[in-house]
Amino acid sequence: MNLFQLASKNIFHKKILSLLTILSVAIGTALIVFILLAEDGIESGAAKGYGPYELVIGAEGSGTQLALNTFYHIGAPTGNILHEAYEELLESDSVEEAYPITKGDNYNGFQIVGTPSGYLSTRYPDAVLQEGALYQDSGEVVLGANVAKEQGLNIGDEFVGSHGVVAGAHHDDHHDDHHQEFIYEVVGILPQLHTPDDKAIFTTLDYAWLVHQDEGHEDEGGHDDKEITAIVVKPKGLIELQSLKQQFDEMTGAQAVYSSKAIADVLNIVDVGAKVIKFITVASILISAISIMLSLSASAAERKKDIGLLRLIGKSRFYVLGEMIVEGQLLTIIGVVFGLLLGHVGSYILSDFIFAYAGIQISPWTPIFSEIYIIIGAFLIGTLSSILPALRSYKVQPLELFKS
Amino acid sequence: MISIKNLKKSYKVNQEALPIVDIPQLTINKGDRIALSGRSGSGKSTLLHIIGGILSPDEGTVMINDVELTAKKEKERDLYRANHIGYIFQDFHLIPSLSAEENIRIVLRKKGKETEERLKSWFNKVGLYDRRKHLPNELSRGQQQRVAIIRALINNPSIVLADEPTGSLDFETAEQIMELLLELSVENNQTLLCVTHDRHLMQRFPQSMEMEQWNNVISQGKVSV
Repeated sequence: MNLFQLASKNIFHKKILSLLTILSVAIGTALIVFILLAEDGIESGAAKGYGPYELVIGAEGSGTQLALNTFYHIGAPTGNILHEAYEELLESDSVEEAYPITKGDNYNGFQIVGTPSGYLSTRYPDAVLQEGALYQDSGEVVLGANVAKEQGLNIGDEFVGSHGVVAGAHHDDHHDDHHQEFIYEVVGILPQLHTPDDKAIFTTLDYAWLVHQDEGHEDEGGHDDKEITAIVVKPKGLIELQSLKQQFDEMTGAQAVYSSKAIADVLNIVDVGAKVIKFITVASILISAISIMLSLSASAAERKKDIGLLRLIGKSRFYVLGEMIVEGQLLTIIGVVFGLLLGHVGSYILSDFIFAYAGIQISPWTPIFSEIYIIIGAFLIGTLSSILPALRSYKVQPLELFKS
Repeated sequence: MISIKNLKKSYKVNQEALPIVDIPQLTINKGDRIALSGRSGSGKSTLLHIIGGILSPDEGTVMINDVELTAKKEKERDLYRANHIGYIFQDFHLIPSLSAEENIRIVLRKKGKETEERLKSWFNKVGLYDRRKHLPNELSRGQQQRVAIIRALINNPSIVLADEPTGSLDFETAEQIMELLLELSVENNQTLLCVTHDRHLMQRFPQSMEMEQWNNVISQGKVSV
């Protein structure tokens, strides 16, 4: 009978203790897998978040808030700027493409984004709509894949939006939250893009002006000062990017933000949160290691006579030491395999909720290179945790068998 | 043959050496079947442990088949014990996570058809072939001791040391087990040294030894009840 067979038999014999140890290792591993997948989701989401739009222009305020709202559809815009700014921008030679964006309403928490359909064509040149066509007329909408899935909306369906960029947001104009008179019709559904646009609803730029026309401001000349919440810009090059930023920073009430810098700032904030989670993960790894050690220590104490017998029938000290270490390694490996599975399945189950709640698009079945490190690391921790109880077994003499 | 000369062993109790075994000379021939008796603390088990190479004496030598066991290092003694000595205990000491058959396999040194046949014949011999896959806690105490007997004898050791093998069994089962042990040791021409307090069972042995506390083997011969 080899060490592996004996260790397996011993693990199986103390079912409950083994199960608890395996569970503790599995939970620690699953947490690490989840964090790695989330990190991967955040990084790839951040990288894909702004596409070719290197510059975002909006009302003065937090640059991060402007980028988050414009590209990630999170939180409120920093304010409004005049549509004239966009018209002025189009006259610039530095711009390759630019699109105005209006926001203000949501449907069950999903932000409604008013922008020319060119925004989508430039952002996703290779994407093909899942169904239908791009919007052309006021009131027509194209849904992000997650919106369609979660809300069960299909081509031809109609819905009424709510005021505010988040569900249940109130407005101080005492109007009904629902704009009953303005009905949206679904004309297209985007494919799964794995970007924040999966949870947005796109419509014509003028929707907000039509919906809120009674709220429109009139200047002394009597015509509407149409407002937008942001302009996304694809500059012709790096020099043009800098000159455009300078130009709009100088404009009163507006700011221009480098998309990459704003996203990097967001990632830094996320990184702090990730560090806290990593700390919790390290703690759970420690707990796993301790539970392996305790389980094997209990086993070594309980099996002192069995170990004495193994020594009596001629098994060497190293056989006894090896058996205990193999037992620890087996418990760890089973726990890690179960944990990897749990991490991926758990991420799959939670992915929609996490996307809806935090805007993090997790790809649960993506194999992560770091998983190799998890397996190697866990194996080492399992081995190290086994050494102490194994050494206790190593010292057991055959005479132990005769002690009462 | 086991040859013992000037064997002394004492334990320290409250800083003082308490002599347990003191045997000037003792010879046990190959094939002897000896019942070893004596009061508690008379050194019966200590003598068995020294012959089994588990304990080292303070003084003296133990020669087994011209090999001086007491001169060997721990590792060599372990190997010698595995090859030449079979042990049977009062509490059987079967590994609870292993089936009856696996408890035997763990001591087997060879694999192959011949070994498998031997395993089968041993289980048949003790009447446990149908229960060989059972865990120790699924067997009666008598059945557990039968498995322990196979474990001690299957490698055909030249010496079998039994420390009160029937001490935890009822009278009827104890008789059966002792009969089996004696029968098998005769069949395999093995030297059997068996500690027992049961004078009735002692009668079954052709030879007996009695040990007295603080001293040595005081009588050697056929026990009269």
